[in-house]
Amino acid sequence: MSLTVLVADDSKLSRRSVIRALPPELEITIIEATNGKEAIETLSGNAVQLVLLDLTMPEIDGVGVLEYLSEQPSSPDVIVISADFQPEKQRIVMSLGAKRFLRKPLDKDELAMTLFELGYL
Amino acid sequence: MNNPLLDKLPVGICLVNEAYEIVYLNAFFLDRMSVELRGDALGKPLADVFPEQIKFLKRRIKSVFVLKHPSFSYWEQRPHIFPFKSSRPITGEETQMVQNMEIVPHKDTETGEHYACILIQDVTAQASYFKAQAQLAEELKAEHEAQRKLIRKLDRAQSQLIQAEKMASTGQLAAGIAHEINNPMGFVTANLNTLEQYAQNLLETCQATKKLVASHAPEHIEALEDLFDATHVELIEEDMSPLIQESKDGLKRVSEIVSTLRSFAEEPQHTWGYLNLHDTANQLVQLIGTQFKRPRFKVTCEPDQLKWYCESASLKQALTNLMMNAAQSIDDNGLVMLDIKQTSSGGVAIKIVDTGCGISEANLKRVFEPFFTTRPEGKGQGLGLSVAYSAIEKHKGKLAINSREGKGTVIEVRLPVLKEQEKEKSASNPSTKSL
Amino acid sequence: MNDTIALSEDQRDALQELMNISMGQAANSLAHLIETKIGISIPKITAVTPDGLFELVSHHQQAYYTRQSFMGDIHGEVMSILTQHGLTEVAELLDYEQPLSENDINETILELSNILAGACLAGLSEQLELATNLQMPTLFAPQKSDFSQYDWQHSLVMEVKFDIQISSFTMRVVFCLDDASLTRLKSTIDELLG
Repeated sequence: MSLTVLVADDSKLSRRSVIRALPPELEITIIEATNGKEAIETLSGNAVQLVLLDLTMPEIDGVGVLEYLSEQPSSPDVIVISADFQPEKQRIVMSLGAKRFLRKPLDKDELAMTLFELGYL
Repeated sequence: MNNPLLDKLPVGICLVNEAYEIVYLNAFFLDRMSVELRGDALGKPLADVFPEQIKFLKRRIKSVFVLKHPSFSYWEQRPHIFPFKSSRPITGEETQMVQNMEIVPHKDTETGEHYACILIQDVTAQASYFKAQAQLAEELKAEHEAQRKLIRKLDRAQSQLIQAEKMASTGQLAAGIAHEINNPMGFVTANLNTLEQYAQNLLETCQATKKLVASHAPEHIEALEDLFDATHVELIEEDMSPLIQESKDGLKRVSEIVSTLRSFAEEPQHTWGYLNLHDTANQLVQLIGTQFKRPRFKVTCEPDQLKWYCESASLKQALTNLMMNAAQSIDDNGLVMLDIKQTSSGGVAIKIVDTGCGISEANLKRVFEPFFTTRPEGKGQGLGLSVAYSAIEKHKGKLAINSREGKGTVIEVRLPVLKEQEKEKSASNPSTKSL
Repeated sequence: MNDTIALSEDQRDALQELMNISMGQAANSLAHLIETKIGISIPKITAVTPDGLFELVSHHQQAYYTRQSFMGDIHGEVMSILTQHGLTEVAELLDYEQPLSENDINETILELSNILAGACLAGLSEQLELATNLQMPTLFAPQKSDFSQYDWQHSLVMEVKFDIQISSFTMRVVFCLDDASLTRLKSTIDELLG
């Protein structure tokens, strides 16, 4: 079963490190978005099962993307990956329907564990 | 953690677990703790063993546990965290150890437990050095400030000295005036001599006329005598000679004063040459004697008529100032002695002794300071001795002063033979070497 | 700008992200310690000459300055500029008792710079897998002469602003790297981007 994953981050470095951290045994198609607006456009036109979402982005930020998704009838799983992980921020993100909140720099094992918990592995 | 090398480090190491209990102390720590505490410190709460500054320590240790990042404390803000004695020698002033502290996170790789490792550095020496440096800098600053003040004072003194120099040129002006006085003095003296002769002739003519009338026309003698009486010829005869003599004496005195004034002041400034010290001393006493009537003056010079190679204007100025001070110090009758003597080494010793009021011990220290004066405001510039001092210095000489209040003052000036003098002596007048 | 200092768009972006992550860690650590929310600005990355650096840091009249050097795989200095305003409240959050003595204030300044600058450096080093050690921070007053005496011609300035929300306190952290360290940093970033 092929999995389509959207990696939304304005930083190329972060997108690289997220993609590199994905378990190699997973068969996945990766779509990249460099800001929230691009992410929303991608989501409306493609069948995406999983979103790996950054919070601080230009145009529309991660919270904006989550708000958009919460208004949709059905939405993919969202794992937020952010450098700003103060409790306040985590609370907002989780209340908008994100499944997990992971810290930057992304830990490979932590991502694998999360994917396992969410049933992708 | 029980590596014996850790006990050799000049750094204190204390390991604390997450319950703030001490789990390790190296020798640096143990050696500085009291015997009672040392035995069972391990395993005890940090607060029990080191109650001083525990609040601060706990705060810092917490930050290390939470942030997983070292924490620093610098002696300048917190010099004595642990109650340790300084390791400085007994002579050191600092008794408490000045410390820098670093707390670093430590994770035991086997058990996975977290620790905070307190590292203590003894920086007593550096701190006291630093403080000494800071104090030194402060002192230097103060000294610098004092010097700047002094320089300002000296600047002022210099301009005052320039002023004094100007006054010396006023002396030259006086010499010019003296010269001008000399001219009329010349013809007044000559005329007076002539007038004396004329008057003598006239009186003789009167006597001769009286004799002629008595022998050839005795009938008119009475009328002539009446005429002589009416014009006081007899009185004129009596009075004229002493009057003229008195005038001549007066003129002589004027001419003496004028010539002294000239010879003393006419010397151009800053010229080196031979000065007859004996003559100079006599002239000086004469000049000062006209201003100060009370003291008796006495001049001695050995050898007689001693000539000295010097910058005569400034040396004369120096001697004048010293003599004036001596004369001024005498209230009633007293003695001012000016004694000049060539020493065995060829130099000259000039002694000025007075039996005047003397100088108090406190003032004696300050007499060479420019503008220091004990005379009332407006009466003295306070420059006399400092001018004398710098003049003597110019001659590479020494000026010493001794005084006892109420008894008098002795000033001794010693002038060395200057090279030029030796050169000139040997070239022009080798015989004077035996002097 | 010479060649060693010029950053490609990708490199600049990557560095910005790395800083962002490091700052996030720093802010989170401090927020955790003093139990308050901390705002972080998006890091600004510029390359400046020493004179430019002086201009950059010296504008702040009412400010405290600290500097802290680091060594290891990369060398450089971190400068922290702290506003005087709001510092009292932060000191209180750090458990200092009022009224603050001059030593308390100095200690607070040094501690804050150490936590924030230190966390930034730690985050950066960790992500780039570079070993660095931070030295003790010291207080200093920036003077133009200090800057012209630096033996590097250019420095990379990574500037970020922290806002501690219950007070109006802000702090800027400026990283200065020498040319050799910058070259090392760039090659490490290139590996990550590759």
